Amino acid sequence: MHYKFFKKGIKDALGIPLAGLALSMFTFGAYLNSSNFNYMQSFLSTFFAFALPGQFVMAETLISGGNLINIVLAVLLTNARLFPMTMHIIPTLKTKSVSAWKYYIICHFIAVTAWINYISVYKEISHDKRFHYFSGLGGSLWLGSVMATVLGFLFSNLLNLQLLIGLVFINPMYFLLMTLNNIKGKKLISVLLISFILTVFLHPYLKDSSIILCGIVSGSIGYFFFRK
Amino acid sequence: MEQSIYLSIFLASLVTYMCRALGVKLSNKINTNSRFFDWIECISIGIIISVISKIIFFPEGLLEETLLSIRVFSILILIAVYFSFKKNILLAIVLSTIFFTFLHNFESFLFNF
Repeated sequence: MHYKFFKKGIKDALGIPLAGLALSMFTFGAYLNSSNFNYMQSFLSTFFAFALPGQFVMAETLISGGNLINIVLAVLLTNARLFPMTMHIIPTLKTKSVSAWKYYIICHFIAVTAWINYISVYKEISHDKRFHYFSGLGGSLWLGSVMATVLGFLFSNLLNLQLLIGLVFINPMYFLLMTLNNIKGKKLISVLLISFILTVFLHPYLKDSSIILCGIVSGSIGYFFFRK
Repeated sequence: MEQSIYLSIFLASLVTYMCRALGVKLSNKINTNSRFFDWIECISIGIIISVISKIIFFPEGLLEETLLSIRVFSILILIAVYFSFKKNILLAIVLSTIFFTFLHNFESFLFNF
């Protein structure tokens, strides 16, 4: 195993990526506490359903009295975004030295934070070492998220709410800067602008399912109009 | 209620994993130098931008308690600092977080003055 790159992945996760994500997970843990979940349920939620928007939707649908079919559909519409994100990351990780089943394990770590951080560096890492790098990066983000959810469940009352609100905003700010860092050329700039405009106008009507739709429409327009 | 929570977590986990596993399955024959890969990359970036826009304009959880104007203003400060200081991510985030927290805590004072 390329241990050095596994450790590099962990090192790259520690700092702003994990801090931003952990703060969001911490508030999710606090939210579950205030919604009469127990700590085991908060733990299981992030351990197995690791994707914060889907976790929020699951809890909200349940609390508002939705049935299991409502929950499945709501989570599916919210997390459908993970499908193209996985299709984008996995081909860059593929190497003959890694068994096929391991990709079905590592895909559990694919979420926005891991995706953004990986995409910004993967071209600088040789192909056969990317799997190990992503294991370290995504694995530590996932593990940190599980811990932060439980900590948020147990200790949310000890923190100043107003300060926590300020800290939670770190995550979208970090996402934005990392994305801006990766956006070069007319094609991706057009994707950025179209996706932004579409989301602002469509989200009030389509709610969370607008994200996958805006991604497909903006990505397709940007690609087909500006491809070389 | 207890059982329905556990069942909900199980179903949410299953659905979430299926979205990822299907991505792994269908990515088997994708070449990273192909046009299809470029297209998927554009869609993924579109999704990320949509996620960010959604958090800024239609947040859930704690951020719902903040004003849209403060969130947008803080993002503009973030971008201005980022490009003014040689794309320094840490500096931009620290300054914008301080700015955002300050504005949020003193919003009533500032807007009523």
